[in-house]
Amino acid sequence: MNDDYLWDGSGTPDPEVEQLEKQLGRFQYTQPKFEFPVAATSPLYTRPSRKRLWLAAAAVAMLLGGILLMRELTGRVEWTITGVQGSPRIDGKIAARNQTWKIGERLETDAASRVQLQVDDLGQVEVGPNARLELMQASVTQQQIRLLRGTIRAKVTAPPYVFLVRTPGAYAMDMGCAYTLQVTDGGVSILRVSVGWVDLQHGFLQSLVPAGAAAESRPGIGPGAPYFEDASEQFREALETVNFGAENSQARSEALTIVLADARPRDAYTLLNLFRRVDPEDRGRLYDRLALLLPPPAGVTRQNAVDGDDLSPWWDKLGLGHPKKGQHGPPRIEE
Amino acid sequence: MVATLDRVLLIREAPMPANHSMGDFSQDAQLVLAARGGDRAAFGELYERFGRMVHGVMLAHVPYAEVDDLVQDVFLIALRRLDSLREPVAFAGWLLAIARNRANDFHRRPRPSEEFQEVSGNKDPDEHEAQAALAAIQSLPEAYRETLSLRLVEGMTGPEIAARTGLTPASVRVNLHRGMKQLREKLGKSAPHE
Repeated sequence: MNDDYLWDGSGTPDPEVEQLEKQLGRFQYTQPKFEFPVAATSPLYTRPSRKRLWLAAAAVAMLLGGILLMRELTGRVEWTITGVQGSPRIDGKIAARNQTWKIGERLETDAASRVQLQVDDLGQVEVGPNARLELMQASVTQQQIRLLRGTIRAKVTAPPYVFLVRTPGAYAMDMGCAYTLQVTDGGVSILRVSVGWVDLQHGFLQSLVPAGAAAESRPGIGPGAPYFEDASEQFREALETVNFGAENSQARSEALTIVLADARPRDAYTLLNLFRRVDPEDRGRLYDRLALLLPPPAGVTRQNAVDGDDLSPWWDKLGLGHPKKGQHGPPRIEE
Repeated sequence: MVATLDRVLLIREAPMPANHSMGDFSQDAQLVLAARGGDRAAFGELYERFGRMVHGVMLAHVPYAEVDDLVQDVFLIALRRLDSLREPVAFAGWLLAIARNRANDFHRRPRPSEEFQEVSGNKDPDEHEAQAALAAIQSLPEAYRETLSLRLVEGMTGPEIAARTGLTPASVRVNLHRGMKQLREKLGKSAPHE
């Protein structure tokens, strides 16, 4: 039986899916109207009086003044160009040394230009040739750039999760590290970490990439499992199919066979990352191979792996240490 | 490590859905812009368009009894922060991020002890089975539970889920297929022959 009915309700109904639909229908969404808060607390108001408008304007002015004062007192974060080669441009105009890159501006380099940026005391970023990027946020608690094309090299001293790079395939979230990040014209991003850890995230997928490892991300899919770059070429090619060949289950299964055969003890990290990416029926042989490379800790069984259970104790055996999560844990970036 | 790290879902603006039609983008974006300008009807329309998606996502993470209140919370947060949404076309992903954050917050905060929670012993058999099926969905890996909740509870089709969540149709199909397989195993049902 195919899964057309599960997919879009077409084809022969699957009796079990139908039964679940019937059972679970009782939990369905039934609240068609939004209950607006009282007008005083809602930003959506109607026909405010002139007096209220003046009061609101005064309040806004005071608030803005307060914010500016606070920024002066606490130190605003600025992106300053500290080095230039060739003719990089900001919003179409030639960029110069000591110029500030502001939120919303687009920075571009051509084939012969490069830029070096200093982010106050939070880090440095080098922008390579043929790159295009935008500054999205620049506050003490959140730095965010969007890398549309090209390569950047970042050395970040900011606390974990303060420095984010948005690429077409994933967010690269710094956890105290140095790395290079490249986005190809096709939107594929390739991350290589030299110091510390980088957390790659998109939708449901997450990859923590340690020093010495790399990971690709693809638009619409997200990050693949990280790998150490000294893995065999065959291993890396097969891993690409396992990571991103979502359309062909058989090809992915065959590729997994190559990955398992070529895996070295150092590649245990990659294999652990694959449990959430392979088909459930492949988890057993993934467990078997990994158990040979890195014996599982007490309490982690083959059945745990097949069931998709938490394998955290196995991660701890890798000896890679734990990435710093910062004083306050993962960032509280405002939506 | 990876498995236990808190998920960072607090992204300002999630990547735009690759498979959302430009017409939908345009309509959603126009509603966002109108709502920003004080148009209550426009925000109400956004609520109607996305309420089901938020409800389904919430239901994948929190007890059913809490879902309606949390859906309302999500839209209240969105209402308050609408001005911070830089790209109106990214509304769907942004709203999803708020919903997941709110679900995470729910689990972080202290809740009434078990004796104050609903007692399950008095449920009729149908209710009991439905609760068991929902609990089984909620116990699935994260990648599968939201898509299955949207499909089996909210009645959205795979293409609708892809359009609303920003996942590719292929990813949604894979999630549905694998999630359903795991769900059958958890509920003690045998998978149909493929």
